[in-house]
Amino acid sequence: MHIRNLSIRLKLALLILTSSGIAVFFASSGFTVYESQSYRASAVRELTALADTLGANTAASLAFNDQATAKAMLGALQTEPHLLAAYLYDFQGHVFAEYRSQGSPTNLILSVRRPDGASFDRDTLTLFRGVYLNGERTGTIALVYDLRDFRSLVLEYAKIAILVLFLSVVASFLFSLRLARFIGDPLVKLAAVARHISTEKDYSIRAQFGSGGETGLLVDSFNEMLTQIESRESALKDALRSLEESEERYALAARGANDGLWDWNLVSGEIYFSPRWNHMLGNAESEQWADPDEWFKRIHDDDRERVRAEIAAHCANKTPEFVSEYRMRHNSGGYVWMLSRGIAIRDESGKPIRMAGSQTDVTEGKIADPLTRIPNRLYFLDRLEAAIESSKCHGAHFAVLFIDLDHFKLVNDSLGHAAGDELLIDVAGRLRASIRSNARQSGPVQSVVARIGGDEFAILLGHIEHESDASTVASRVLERLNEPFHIEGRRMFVSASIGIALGSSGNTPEDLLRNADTAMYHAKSNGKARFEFFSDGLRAQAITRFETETGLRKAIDENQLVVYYQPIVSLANHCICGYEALVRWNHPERGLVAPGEFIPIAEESDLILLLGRWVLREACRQMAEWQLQNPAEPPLVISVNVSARQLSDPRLVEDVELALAESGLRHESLALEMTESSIMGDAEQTLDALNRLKRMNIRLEIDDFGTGYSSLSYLQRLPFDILKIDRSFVNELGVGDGSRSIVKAILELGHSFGMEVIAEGVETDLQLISLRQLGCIYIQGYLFSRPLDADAANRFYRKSRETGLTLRT
Amino acid sequence: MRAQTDDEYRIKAAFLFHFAQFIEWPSGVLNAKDSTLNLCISDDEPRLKEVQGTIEGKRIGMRVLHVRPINPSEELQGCNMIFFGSDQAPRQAAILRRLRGQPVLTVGESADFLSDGGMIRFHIEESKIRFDINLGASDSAHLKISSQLLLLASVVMRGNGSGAGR
Repeated sequence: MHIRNLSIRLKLALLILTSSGIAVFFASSGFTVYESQSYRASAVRELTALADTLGANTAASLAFNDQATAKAMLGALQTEPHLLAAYLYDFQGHVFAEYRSQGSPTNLILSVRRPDGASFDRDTLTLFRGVYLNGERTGTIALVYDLRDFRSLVLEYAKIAILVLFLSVVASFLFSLRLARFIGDPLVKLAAVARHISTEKDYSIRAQFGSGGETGLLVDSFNEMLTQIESRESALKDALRSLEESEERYALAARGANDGLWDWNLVSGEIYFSPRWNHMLGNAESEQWADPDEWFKRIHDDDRERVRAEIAAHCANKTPEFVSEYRMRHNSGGYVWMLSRGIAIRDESGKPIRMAGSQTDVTEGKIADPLTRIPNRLYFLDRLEAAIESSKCHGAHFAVLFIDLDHFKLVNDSLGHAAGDELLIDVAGRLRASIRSNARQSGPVQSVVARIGGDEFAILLGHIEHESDASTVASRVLERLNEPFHIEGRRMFVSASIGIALGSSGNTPEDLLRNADTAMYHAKSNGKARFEFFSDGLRAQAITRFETETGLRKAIDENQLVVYYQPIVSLANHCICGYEALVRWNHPERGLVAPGEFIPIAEESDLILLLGRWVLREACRQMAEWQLQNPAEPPLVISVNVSARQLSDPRLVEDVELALAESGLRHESLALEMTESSIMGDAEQTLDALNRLKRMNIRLEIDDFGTGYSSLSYLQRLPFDILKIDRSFVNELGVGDGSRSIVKAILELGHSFGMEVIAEGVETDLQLISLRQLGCIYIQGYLFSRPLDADAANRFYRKSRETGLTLRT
Repeated sequence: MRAQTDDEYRIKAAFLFHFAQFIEWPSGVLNAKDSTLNLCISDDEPRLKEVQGTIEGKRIGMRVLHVRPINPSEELQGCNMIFFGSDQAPRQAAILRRLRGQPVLTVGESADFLSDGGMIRFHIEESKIRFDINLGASDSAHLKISSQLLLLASVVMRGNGSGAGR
């Protein structure tokens, strides 16, 4: 074990031990050496003194050659225990006298004189010293001293020194252990804390012991360092956590947003698609590298080259990012709309090496109706196309249901758009619910409910065997819609008309939808709240309708239209007081066409505006002419029908002014006739137009009063002058009391508002009598005259002025 | 015998020299200027030559030993030591009386030298030259004899001329 690896306590102990040992060793050695040296010195000194004394004492013996005395004197040395021998030499160096102690070794014979001085042997100290008499040397004395006792003394010293050394080593070892603990313990504890921290990774731990001096500084610095590490650690953790969170958040966001991810290595040509990317196309949620063609070959033929061009443009750094919307073929057969965004990563030279981004299914945004969240017309046509394709391949049967709410406009107008929107959402939900049982079935054609526009919905019905399957669904739809709606706290009833076109009835999505639409119109005209199948008959009707529409456009241009006039009679004076202008189409092949056959068709398009404008001008012109012809007669009033579309046409007032100006007709001679429902179309705009017309002194007339959702408030707010009782009430007069009460009520209502009331459709005397009894003054109907062309009307007028009106009965 | 006698007197001369070394004269007798210690020997003394030849001019500390031949009947002034040879025995007593109380070391070799009032007497003992000391004579002459010299003396007499055992 190397001393470096020892613990600091042991090192300290060793250090103290070694240094104290060395100190004690040197002290003991020094002491011993010093003792020995000083002993020798003192021995030499003592011996010298002894020799001098002896010399002085024996000088006389030498001088007087008295060996006996000298010997006797040397014999006195017996009292010196360590003196082994003494020799006295005469001047010539011969031994003059000698002394040997009893214990002295026999070989100790100094027969030869040596030079003066002390010399140490192993066991002896020998000193030669001169003997002087009055400063004159007379001989030499030699003393031999026994050092054995001294040696044993030195040995004793050494033993004591070793003992002291041992004791001091033991003592300093014990002391050094304590000292080492004192110094080393804080360090050991500190090391333990550091080790604990490094294993536990818990930087909140602190060295919890006080200490002074450098160790205290070390502990404080250590703790301070820990605080810094801890704060750095926590900052790091926070940063890591927020990084993880943001990564997680991004992953969640990507999942939540249903984003698929792709990562294209442009160098290797491989592309990575995330599981979500695959899932969005109906693939297994695998995660693997693939060929980019997997992507491109799925893109719709119409979009593929554009997408490639957009990617190329971004790679060429012409666009800041790659953003593209395109269709991709889903495994189920249809196409889904994808929005892809991506960014290229470039090397130093700007060459793109990698491109990555997301792909979002935006089909719903593309195809969903924003209000009801069900598919829109675009998507419906797309699915329909897929259905047609599928039908060609698999012979699958399907049907298209076209659903139009009856009287939706009324709801929208009377309760407001918010209520209308709420109703549409509710209807969409019910429609979805009504096909749900069919939707569960799987097959080549999936059922789809879509909002086609306004209050029009369509259902693509997959999986039908027979027509009856379609009619079952249609019935279910009608039932569901029959249940009351709760809109803005109101309970209301809505009905719908449904047209059904079987998949076999058309070749294109547009065809099929139009056919269903046609069938729906048929249902509406057959009394609403019902469904009708598209048939060959309807196809013929549709063709007729189409031809009518084109023919009508031509008719306006070629003056094939004729205005007929039906007189309005006043029972007060039995005079004709005015005419209602009614348009007829004098078709070159079909002869005279009734308005019911072309007016509804015209109303579906802007043709009604052209037609209305033409009738207005013609009627005004005719009336002005008549008034010129009969200046003496009281001025007649011409009633011209204005359709809903005309009312909402901003040009209406302008058209009226123009017609009046052209004809020179007095304003009060023109009455504009409109139905209740048409007034309610765009209420504010209509009200404004009506007010302007009223200020022009033009008379305003409500047609078909009592049939619509007429509101009394309208009568108050709108400046109407004339009210026309619907012919249905008049027809019933005399049949039952119900209609009589209604007619009576309408009359009273009209009169109470200061309006003139006209009863139309009067055909019998009985009706006339009833009306007269009820106080009705103005009568219109076959009883007096059917609508007549201008000439006939003029003749009829003149005749009435001449002969008076004759009632047919 | 002659040669032996010559040796004997050379040793006795050395002894005389050494005696001077162990004797302390009273202060004032030997002043610093007087750097000579005079050893007076009768000029008729046959051994004079030998003594002179052995110790003339030897240094004793700061002083120099000078052997001076004298006529003992006459002037003894200036003598610090006087050696009386055996030939001087008949007249030594008179001289010694004259010298009584004088700080002069007297050394002789006749048997009754000490009883005549002399201080140190040579004698032969086992063919070795030894000496006796009359401490009473030296004391009265105010001469201090070193204890070492006393230690080496065969006989030390106390009192006035009468011998005493060791």
